[in-house]
Amino acid sequence: MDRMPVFVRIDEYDTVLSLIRNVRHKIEDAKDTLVKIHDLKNEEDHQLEMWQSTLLEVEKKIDFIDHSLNEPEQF
Amino acid sequence: MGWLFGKKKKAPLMPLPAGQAVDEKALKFPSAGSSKKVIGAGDVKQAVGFNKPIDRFPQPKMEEELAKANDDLKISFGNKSSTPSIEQVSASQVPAPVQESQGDSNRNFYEEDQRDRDGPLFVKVDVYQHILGGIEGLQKDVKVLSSTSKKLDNSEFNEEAHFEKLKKELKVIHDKLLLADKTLFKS
Repeated sequence: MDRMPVFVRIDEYDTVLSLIRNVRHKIEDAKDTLVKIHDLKNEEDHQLEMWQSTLLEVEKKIDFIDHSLNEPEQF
Repeated sequence: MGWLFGKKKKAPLMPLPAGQAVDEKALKFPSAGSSKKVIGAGDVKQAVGFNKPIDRFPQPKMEEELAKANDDLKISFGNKSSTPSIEQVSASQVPAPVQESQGDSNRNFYEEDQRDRDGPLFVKVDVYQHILGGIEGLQKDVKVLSSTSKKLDNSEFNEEAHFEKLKKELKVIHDKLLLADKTLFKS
């Protein structure tokens, strides 16, 4: 009696299968969304780097103007 | 040709293995369904022994999963006598899937086969226990994902706040530069 296999009856097996199929679709959608978010983040990082370099350029120009105004005899 | 069919090796006669004594009571099902015990949905975990320590839910490859499913998941459909029929399927009889696409076709075959028939479906208890363990693990993973999502929300909010602050500072710089320009070139 100990070795006899015991089975569990599962009702609405088709429902479970369709649920799992839906979950799989959702996982695929989530993967696609993650790829899009990753691309957006890369684009955002690129724009931030551009912003940083432009800000450095502005800082250099301000320094130049500042020097020009403070020490006009050198120019 | 003579060397090929000339002599036959005489295999020594081996004594046949003694068969086991068949107990007639061993494989008898109860004639009437009087001993059928219906377990409610709430008591399933307890009845299956889910509180016992379960080994980590296996994450086999598709091929292994299908081969294991062919071995372990002996699905039987009830006939009119309501006695589940158990098919003994050995691993050698089941063609082992070689490619992933073949595994998919096997899975489709399973699904179509199961969908075609009506009646109750039975799954072995250990498989069911693994499924329950898997669902428990999934619930934990979903909790981890939702907490990560909350953290991401907070982080994005902070990022947005920093961005707004940066824009304001840039606007102040722009205004002051305009003012200096106007002052310098007014004359």
